[in-house]
Amino acid sequence: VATVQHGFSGFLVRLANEPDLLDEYADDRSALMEREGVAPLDRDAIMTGNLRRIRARVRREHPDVDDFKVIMEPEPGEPKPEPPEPKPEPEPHPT
Amino acid sequence: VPGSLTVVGTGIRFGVHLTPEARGALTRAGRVLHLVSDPVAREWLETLRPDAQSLDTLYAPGKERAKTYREIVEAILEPVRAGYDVCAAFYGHPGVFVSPSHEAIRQAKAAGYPAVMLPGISAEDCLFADLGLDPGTKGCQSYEATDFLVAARAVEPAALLILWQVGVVNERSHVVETDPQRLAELRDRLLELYPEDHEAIVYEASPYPVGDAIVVRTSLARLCDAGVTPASTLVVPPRPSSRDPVARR
Repeated sequence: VATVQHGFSGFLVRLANEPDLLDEYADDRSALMEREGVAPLDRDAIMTGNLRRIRARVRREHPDVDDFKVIMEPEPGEPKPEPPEPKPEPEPHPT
Repeated sequence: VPGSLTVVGTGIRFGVHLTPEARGALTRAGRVLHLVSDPVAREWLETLRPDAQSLDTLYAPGKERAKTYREIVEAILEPVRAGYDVCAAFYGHPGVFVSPSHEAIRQAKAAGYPAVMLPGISAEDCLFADLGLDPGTKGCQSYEATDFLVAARAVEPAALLILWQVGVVNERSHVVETDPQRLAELRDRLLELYPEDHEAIVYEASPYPVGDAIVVRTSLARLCDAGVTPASTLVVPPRPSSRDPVARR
């Protein structure tokens, strides 16, 4: 790991890089976060599991970045297919 | 010819989804360029490669995405031509809903450079796990939302339908927020195929090592009120067919 990470983002990066820490998180995330000095509001967000709340806490440390980047463009210019010809009604069987 | 290209996926949950072979490619490469989905994911990637170059500066609100994608391809190929072993990393699976990765590999190979793609965990992989859906149960249709709408793709309503990039449907530029009018066009198309009260699931996987996916269950009629964002995926469960035992009762 090249740099020391701080704050809420730093805790998330350490979880991603340190399997032992991730194991501890899985065992008792509340105790781990307290030991690691995660701020109470950040801890609360993680305990809810709510992605919007977690992201809102992350955004406090990264206020300048707030957009999602899609990386795919469908091929343009394909015409809509013609609607299928209506099928003729089947001839009634002679009885 | 010196120079090569390896395209890798970082998975959706940064760090914990990275495969050993992708990690090896990232650490061995002479140059690393990346496009990850979140600022913390960028911090994480830069712990592996502090010299990595982010491609997200090529995006700008209102700028045509096709132009951005051409610039991404060029940014990846330039160091390859200069003789570097280049690793280009994209979030998720680098070959699933990623235009410039395929194009960069095509152009590199055409110019005689070795070029490979290594798979990663995709958003679709996360979706099946988080929602408990199996594409094999009744079949699965997966379309990019703009393509679905513009090309009027055929739908089998008795199979699962997944629409990607619904938050940027019919939008060719980079945007920060979803346009409700464009989303309404998609809703109206779906209402030609399904009843108004048919379930729609708006889904977004967590990009962090922690946190649950966003899962909003609503009806197709209320899709525009479901908090769709550019990161959202829409899941339309199968419509019961007349051959289903429950539907036949």
